[in-house]
Amino acid sequence: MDEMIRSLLSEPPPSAAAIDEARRRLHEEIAGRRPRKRMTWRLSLATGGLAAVVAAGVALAAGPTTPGVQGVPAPPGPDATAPQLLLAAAERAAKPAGSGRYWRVLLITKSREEYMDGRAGRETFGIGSRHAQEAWLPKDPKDGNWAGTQNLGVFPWSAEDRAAWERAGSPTQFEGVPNPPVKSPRSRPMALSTNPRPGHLQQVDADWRVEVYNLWDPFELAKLPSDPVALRSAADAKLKETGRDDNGDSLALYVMMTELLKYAPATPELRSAAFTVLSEIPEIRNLGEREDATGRKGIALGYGDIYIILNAEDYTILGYGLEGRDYDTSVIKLGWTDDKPAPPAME
Amino acid sequence: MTALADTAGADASDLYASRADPDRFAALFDRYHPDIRWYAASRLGGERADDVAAETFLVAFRTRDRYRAQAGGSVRAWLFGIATNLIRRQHRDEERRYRALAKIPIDAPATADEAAVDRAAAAVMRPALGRALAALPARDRDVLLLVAVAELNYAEVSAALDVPPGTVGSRLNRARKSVREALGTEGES
Repeated sequence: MDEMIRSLLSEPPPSAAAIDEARRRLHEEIAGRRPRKRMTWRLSLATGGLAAVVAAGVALAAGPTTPGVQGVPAPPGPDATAPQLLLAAAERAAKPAGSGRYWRVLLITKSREEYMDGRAGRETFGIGSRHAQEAWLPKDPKDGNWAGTQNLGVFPWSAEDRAAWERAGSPTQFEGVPNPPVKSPRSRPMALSTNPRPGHLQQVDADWRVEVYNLWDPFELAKLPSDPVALRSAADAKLKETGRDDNGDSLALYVMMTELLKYAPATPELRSAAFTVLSEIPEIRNLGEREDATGRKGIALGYGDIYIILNAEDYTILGYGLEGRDYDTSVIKLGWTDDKPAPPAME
Repeated sequence: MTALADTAGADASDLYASRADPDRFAALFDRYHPDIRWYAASRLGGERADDVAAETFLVAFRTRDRYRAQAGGSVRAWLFGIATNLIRRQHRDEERRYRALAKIPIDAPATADEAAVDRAAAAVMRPALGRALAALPARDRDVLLLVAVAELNYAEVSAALDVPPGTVGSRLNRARKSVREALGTEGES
């Protein structure tokens, strides 16, 4: 009956002018709230600055090396099965436990601008944008939860788009025009830039999470037992208790374990146990070498269309995303810090 | 688990980030304007739906600090909740639309292709549906159309309308029963 109601009430889609008008109203509203600061720094992601971002991120993310790495057999090659890779990861799971005032997670997401193209001179090209998002989760709730964001600018999306952008003189500022185009006289291009804007920081509620898949509290995950068998049964119990186990497959377990690896302040033992639990999930496949949202190469493992990318050296998580969607994320920093929360300042 | 496999994560990211960086909000418009407008058009017709859909994103932007991730909720459901509130303010227009649907004459299908069969069925059923929807209490209609047209699940409707899931279930059952009876009578006559 629902399908019938849906089809009997259906109306033709809106005109392009109506969509454009709605978008224009929202942009005006947004412009009214936009911070008035001008950007001051120059280095462009689109012209090679990204490597610098990544290098800086990695340098900051690198902690003390873990003693466990020595004496472990050579890592499996790229043709290994997913369980072989995951068991190797369990042997090597190496990430400083450490301590500090805040557990800090810094991510960069990359997404395609689906409804907007860049335009410069005679060239029109597809574009994407990158954003940094950072969570500061306090050990002592009195210190407050903080969230940082930074718009890292737009960039030409594909190799073809990049070529068109280069033909236009590789501009750092250009126009954004709606795609599909609209004929409304009110349609105005947006000003786009390949440069990062200043970052922002704000205090957020205690239940605020590293928002990307937003299912589990990282601190709760870190409290799970670090023996693989105990971890598996604790995870199953939690899934049952929260009603997230109703799928009849291991997707929910996969999500929980990968969230543990992605966001939680877990000890090396717990990370190792999480990899062991993952190695027992038959649906996980080795997807081969893949780049993350900032261009770092790693080994991708996927469950259906949800994949993670592991650093082949130390099996930390480089990034993750959804197959076939133009949206993916790099994990740039993950660790305890005594720093005071500050806005992200990627260049 | 479907929420995991779609853009729920990206939605929450954009929404939270937009609190400090308002430009991020535009991504939600791009992602959901078509769905919201479809839903509004089903209830109000195209012209008023253009306004309601635009207004939904303005209201959502202004109240973005109040969004809370909650059990079963999602940014998408929250947007449908806002749209539903806006539609409710125009209930006279909504009821007028349903009464108009009830008056559309049955026109003979032009061709004998498969679509013509659907058109003929629609021509018979649409007036009955229009009458049934016009007669439903607004609260029951909200639930029915959030499920049937917006395709939200119980938990999402519960979050969108801020009513307990059990209430969603009972309103939905009542609404479906009325509509089924109205359509059934029409089919027999």
